[in-house]
Amino acid sequence: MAKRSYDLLFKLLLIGDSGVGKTCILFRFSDDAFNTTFISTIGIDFKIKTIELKGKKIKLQIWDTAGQERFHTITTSYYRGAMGIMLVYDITQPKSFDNIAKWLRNIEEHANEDVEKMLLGNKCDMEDRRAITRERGEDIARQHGIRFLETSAKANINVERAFYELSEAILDKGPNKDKAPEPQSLPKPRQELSKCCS
Amino acid sequence: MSRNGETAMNRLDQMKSRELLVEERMSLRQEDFTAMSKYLFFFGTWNVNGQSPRSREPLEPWLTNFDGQPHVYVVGFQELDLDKRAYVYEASIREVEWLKAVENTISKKGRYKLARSIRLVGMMLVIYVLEEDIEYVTNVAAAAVGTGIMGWMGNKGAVSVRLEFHGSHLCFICAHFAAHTEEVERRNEDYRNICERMVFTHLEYPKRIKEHDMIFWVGDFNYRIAISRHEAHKILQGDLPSLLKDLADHDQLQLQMTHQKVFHGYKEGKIKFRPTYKYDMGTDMWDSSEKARVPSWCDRILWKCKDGEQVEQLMYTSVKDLRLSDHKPVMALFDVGIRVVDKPKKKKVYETVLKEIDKEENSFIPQANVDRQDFKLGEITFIQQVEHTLTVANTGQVPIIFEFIPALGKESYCKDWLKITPNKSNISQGEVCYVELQVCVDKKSAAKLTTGAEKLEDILILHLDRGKDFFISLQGEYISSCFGMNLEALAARTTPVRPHLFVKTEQLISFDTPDLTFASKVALSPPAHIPVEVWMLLCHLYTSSTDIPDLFLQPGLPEEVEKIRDHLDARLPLPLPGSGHSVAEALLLLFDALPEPLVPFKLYNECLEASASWPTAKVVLEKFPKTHRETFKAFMVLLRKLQPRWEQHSSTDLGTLEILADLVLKPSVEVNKNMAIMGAIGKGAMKQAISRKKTAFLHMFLVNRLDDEPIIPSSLSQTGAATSDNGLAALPQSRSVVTFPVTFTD
Repeated sequence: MAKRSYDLLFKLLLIGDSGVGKTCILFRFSDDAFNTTFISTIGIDFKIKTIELKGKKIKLQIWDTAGQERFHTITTSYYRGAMGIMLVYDITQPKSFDNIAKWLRNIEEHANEDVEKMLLGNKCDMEDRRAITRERGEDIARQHGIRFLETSAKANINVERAFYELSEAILDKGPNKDKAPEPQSLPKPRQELSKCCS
Repeated sequence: MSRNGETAMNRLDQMKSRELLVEERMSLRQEDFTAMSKYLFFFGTWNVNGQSPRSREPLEPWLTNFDGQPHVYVVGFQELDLDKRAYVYEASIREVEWLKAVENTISKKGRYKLARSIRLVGMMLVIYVLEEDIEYVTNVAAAAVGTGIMGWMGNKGAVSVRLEFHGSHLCFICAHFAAHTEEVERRNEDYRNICERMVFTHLEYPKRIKEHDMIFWVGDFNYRIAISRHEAHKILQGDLPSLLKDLADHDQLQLQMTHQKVFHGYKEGKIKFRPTYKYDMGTDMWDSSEKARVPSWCDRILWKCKDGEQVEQLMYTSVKDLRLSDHKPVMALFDVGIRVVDKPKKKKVYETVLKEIDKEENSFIPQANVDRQDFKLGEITFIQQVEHTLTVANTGQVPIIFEFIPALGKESYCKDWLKITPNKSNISQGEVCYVELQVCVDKKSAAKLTTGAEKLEDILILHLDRGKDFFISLQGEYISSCFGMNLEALAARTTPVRPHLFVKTEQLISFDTPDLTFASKVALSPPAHIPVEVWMLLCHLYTSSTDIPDLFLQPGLPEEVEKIRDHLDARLPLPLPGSGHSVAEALLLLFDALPEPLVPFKLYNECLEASASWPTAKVVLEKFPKTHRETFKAFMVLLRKLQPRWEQHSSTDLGTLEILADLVLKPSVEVNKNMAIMGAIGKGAMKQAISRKKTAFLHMFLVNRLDDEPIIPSSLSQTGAATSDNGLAALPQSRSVVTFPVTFTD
């Protein structure tokens, strides 16, 4: 094994209307599992997942947010510090698609300026109940200049890819103060110690 | 955001330990992604007695005289340089000469690359690897330990190289132990010393000899055959098989190993060659010098491997035809099972390991459950107490610390009508914590809720340290009361604030009700601009509370105050329920909860300035909005009645009045903020001065009378009341004490 490259830490955020499947997407990605019972997320939760990208180990800290409207003013306060945001809608729920503009506005107002965004049309396994065509999803993503994928947490379609693509976009942006610093820039523990003693 | 704020240092520490963990897990699963493959290894050792290699004595018989092509050559030398200067100087001509000789010789077997060489004085170890294999050699490190003169000089000791070949961790040691037949224990000691002190530090994580899958020792260990020279020569006369058998019984190394004194756990191939020491230089003759050393197997090759490793010795012999030294060289060939990494398999295992560790890390994130996230508070009115319990259970694998935190941009973690106990606590695994949520709308929040500027709802953020956040919603309906209502709004009301209470209490009354008492009529028809509810309180106190000591000082009973609240909100007939103290408190509470105090904010300063001048005070009073002015005046009438001797008090010891003045005269929030900026000392003095002015202002209205003071009925019974057109009381009883004339309007 060659010289170790130290890990990076990326903070990602999942947002979107209630019931579009944010928690399921996270659960699929982190635990490779799916649960059909709907439990509304009332709060903010997160999971850890390590991925390897371009020879770098990246620790993803993925935050799952409450989608219910009454919590929006609170959840927006969690946007700051996120390096990537996944905006999820449900292809069977037109309302969740219509709200994309509102969510994007939220990102605009509350997230870091250079945050990487990605639009996900979830539940793409439910073709028979589809209300939003893939083209409409692509169009709105193109209009806003953000990445787009249709996903299914249930059928495990594109979930992993979505996280990898978003992470790669963050990685490609290059050095960033939010990432863990390179080891050589860190003070040696011993020096720290002597500082305490003096 | 501070709630997720781990420092970068912290994160990196976690990651480093993660790296180690990943490495450990990978090595445990090595078999899942490696396949054992046989590689031919050559091992050689020669004590060259300080000689240079000679062109007329090529090294082929030692290094290449066998079938097959070794992947790895491990060659050790002792006494490479006997020049005493070699103890001091790093460089040695011999080193270069011998490296060259070896390189030239083995080139006949194939193209080899030097993986590493290390020399300490006379000891040298060189490792050559076939060019095609060199890319699989990683983490090469060398180290040396001197055990010679003074216990550390390099005339004796060992040099060592460790490396990883594919996935196998290998360690090679070339040693030279103490000489002389009787020094057995010293040699054992050298071995122990080397094992203890040899550390490969130039690695990310330092390693020792024993931390390897396979370990090979070559060298002049100097163990002798412990018999007399005479006896030895007799044995050496015989044929090889019997000679080997007879000598082996006296071989110190084998004996020491049998007694586990040295090389514990090591193996050696069967010796099928004559002793390698000591010959007359340039000959195959046993030492003919005076010293006449007993022939011995000084030069040996040993190995040790972990369970599951495969090492097979194919050849172990000495080379008779090389005569430049008093030692003969020794060589061995091994088939070594090397764990060759299957890269795709390794990647898979690696991913599995990462997943496993992620899973563990996720399971160590603080976890908790709350029994409710949505509290319906129902209908709540002023000072009504409602309590709920939130149960927080630690469902995770680590202790948790929870805390209610304010939303971003908010100062407080909850609205001022809510009290949370505890708002922060820790919970051990499997334990629960009961959090009391006490709802009570008091003067701080009543006004905002009454006007509808705010609703009786809140979302709390219950934050787990290093973990998730729960949102806890509380929702109820605030039922407006006269408390917290604007004085003007209250005065303008023709109906009770909470008419539904009539139904509840089954005391529905109206002005048309024939049996409506006189008292009620009186109380429900106040002079113009005075709210009914205030008037009711004033009438009650005026008629029935004159003899109560410490009125306004002693608190009432909370439940009585609540009854009074309901009574007022429903505008029920007098008298009010509860003690005088409770009624007095209700009056203060009503004044205190006014969004705009009895003295309007904008006149606050003027009132303070007018505190020394009765004419000015009167002028200021004229500027009050009507409702405030009339209520103020009525309040003054009441106070005069309750305590008829105000003028006999000095303005400094009017304790009760001071409290009342504070309620009536309040600075606006902005003024208050400006006060807060002042220094503590200045503030104290300032406060005192202001308080004195406030009291003085009120006091003036007690010792002087206005021409148009409202008249409060002196009795609530019709008979006791003085007759007048509107049925209200004539002069207050206190009139006689007042020293200047007062006129009344009707």
